[in-house]
Amino acid sequence: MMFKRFLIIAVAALALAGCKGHREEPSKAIDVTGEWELTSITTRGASIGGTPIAVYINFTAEKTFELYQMIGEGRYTYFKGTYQLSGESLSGTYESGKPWGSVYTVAMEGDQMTLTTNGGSETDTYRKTTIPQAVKDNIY
Amino acid sequence: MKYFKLSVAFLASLVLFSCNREAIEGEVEAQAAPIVRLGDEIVGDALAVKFASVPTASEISEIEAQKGVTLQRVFPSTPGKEELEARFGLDRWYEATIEDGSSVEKVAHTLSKVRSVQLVQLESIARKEYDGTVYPESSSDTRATAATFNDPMLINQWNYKNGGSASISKTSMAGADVNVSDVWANLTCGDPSIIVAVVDEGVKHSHPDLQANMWVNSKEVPGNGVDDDGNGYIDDVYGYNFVDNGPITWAIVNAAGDGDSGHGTHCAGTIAAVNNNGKGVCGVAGGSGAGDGCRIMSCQVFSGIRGGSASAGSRAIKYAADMGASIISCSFGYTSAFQSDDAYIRAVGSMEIDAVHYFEACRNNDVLDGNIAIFAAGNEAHDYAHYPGAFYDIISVSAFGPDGLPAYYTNYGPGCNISAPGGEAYHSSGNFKSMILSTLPSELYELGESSGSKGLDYGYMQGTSMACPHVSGVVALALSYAKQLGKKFTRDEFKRMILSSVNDIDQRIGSKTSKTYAYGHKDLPLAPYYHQMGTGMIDAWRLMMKIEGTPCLTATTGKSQYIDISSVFGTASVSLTYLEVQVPQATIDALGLQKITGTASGKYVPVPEGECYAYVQFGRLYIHPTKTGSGKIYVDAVGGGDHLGGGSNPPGGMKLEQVVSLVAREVDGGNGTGGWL
Repeated sequence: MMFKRFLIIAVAALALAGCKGHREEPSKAIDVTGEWELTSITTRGASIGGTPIAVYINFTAEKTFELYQMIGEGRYTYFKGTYQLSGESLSGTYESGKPWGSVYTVAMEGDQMTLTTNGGSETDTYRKTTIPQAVKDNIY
Repeated sequence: MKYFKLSVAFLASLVLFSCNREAIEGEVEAQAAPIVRLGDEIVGDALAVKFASVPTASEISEIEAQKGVTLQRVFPSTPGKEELEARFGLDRWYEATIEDGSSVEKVAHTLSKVRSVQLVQLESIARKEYDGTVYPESSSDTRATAATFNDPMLINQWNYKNGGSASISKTSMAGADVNVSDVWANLTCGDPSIIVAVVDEGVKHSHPDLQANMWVNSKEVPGNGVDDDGNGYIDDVYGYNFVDNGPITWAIVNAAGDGDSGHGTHCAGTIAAVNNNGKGVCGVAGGSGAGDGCRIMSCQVFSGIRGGSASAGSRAIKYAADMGASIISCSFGYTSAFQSDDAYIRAVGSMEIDAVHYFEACRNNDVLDGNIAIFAAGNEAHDYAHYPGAFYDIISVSAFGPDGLPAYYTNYGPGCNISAPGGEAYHSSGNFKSMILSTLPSELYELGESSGSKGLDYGYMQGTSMACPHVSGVVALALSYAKQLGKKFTRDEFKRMILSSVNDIDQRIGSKTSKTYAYGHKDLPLAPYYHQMGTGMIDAWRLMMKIEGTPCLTATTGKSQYIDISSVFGTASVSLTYLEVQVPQATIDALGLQKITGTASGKYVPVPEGECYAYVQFGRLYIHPTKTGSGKIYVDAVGGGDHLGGGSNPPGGMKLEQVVSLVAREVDGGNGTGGWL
């Protein structure tokens, strides 16, 4: 009898767990909104060598983005535009009307986001951050 | 002359020594002189000898009698230049022509044992630095209404003013050019006293777009078979043919179709095709159409399938020095992988370098205390420059395409000093506009009888051969402008100015993984080129500003921005009182300045009411350029105090009138925007 009660509880627990899993599925949809800082790159690392690179991106809920980048020394270059996210596929257009250099495949893990170029030749990793005011003030 | 092709393995043994060395009289034995050689092609019936000291006539006679050769000075002596010739050893170089049919190797060993001989040089063959691809151009595009000049093909010369048009290349980038159009419009178009020697195939001096800018030796009577000016060269009116020792030629092709390509004529057109004549193309230093273009001297070192020998090249370079050239434009080099200047000298010998150093030591203009030599870096995508351009004190030019990225063929890395447009075939067949358009000899290129067309005077080529004359032209313009302003510089100072008058190429290279090239089908990884394209992309405007002494700042197209002007007004620029900002219409037009509105704040109020094209606030110049270009903005401030002194004013400051020069460029990533994404 004791065994039977245990079995019922166990089945119920599994069922609950299953229900919880179903309810959480929509929250697994990729959401890139927020402010991000580039933390590592592949491929381009070889070409950059010892040159410092700093990239910050703000993806807004309104599907716009702001980009602050500094390659080498100096000030940040500022860009903005719009982006589209379809499933794992992230694309965008600069304010000038030119598209991004690639469509990216997005993967999220915790507070990390990886963007892999179309064709997989390069993967850049970002982490959630707050873009420092010093960056925003130090632009061309 | 004839050439022997010998095995690469054997020829790779660069320096040969024989055991003993004999005095010409035969009394003393000593170590043999080194024999240097290079590559798989050498001149087969002659070689060069450098004596340790100037040989006497009797020494010469004795060697000739004993060794079966005829010795003749490589470099004819020029009256008044004897000291300079001696300083660089040009009076000790002799060419030994083999008279008894012996092999060149045997004679080399024999001569190396002569006590007074310092070096024996087998004459290697240099190659033109282009890939042999030529696309004649038959169309005459209607000129753009905004073009500086009325030459109908200027619109296709993206290398001078690249607007980023997709008709040139899908990946073309605005500003990937030599930035010369604003120089033409505002500063200078050339000066006929500045002569550029094209050391190359013969230049078609009768070309309708070159003839008016050809250098003419007025002391020589054309075609009379007499050396009228006594310089050692007969009928050298537009230069000289150092291969055939005769009149300049440009269209010698054998039955197999091999021979001249128009390479020299093409390079000459880039330097100084006649501008504003309603014909064809423009040249960087081609003048304004008023007879004020820089002049082209043809120093022919390739002829048909022959030429390229070290002695011909060296003689040509000395000729250029002696006859008044300020610049030599040398789109040739050796393909061997020398690891150092010493290795190059050991392999090739020093004859060319001696000649180049002699050239650069001569003074042929009112601006410099010397001349400038410019070479192509080479087209094998090697990660080092080809010699002679790779030599440490010679400017060597790498090539970029209309996308502002390294051309797929260009050499890069050590020895490459600066970059310039070299063109790059990109699109599918039928569109060659991403290459370099310039002049060609019509004798070589025809559409065929069925078309009924005449020969074609223009066409496209690509290579560091094409990049080299861009720098030569820009330097010619710079010398013209310096002369106009009465400025003087040392040669070395000027070289530093050239190499630092550049736009950045590395940010674009570094922000992109690869580029598409070769008709759109291949992917070129860009990592190897980062920081390896010399100091950057040559910019004519920036060089002119250096000559003026005007500070030159960089703006970015397509956005409102401020530019720190502390480099102009000093560290107090933030707190200075600014009186006025003047923006000439030429600057508004060149940079496509958009009107902006400032917000007045505090006492530092140069901000005008309403819209303006530029204002200064807190030491920052606010502007919004919409296109690539160059121009000047005049800013007045008060030095010391917040108002001007003088008259009935309370004691005040001094007026600081400063000129700020701007170059607007796209800060560009691989997608044509500059953005990381």
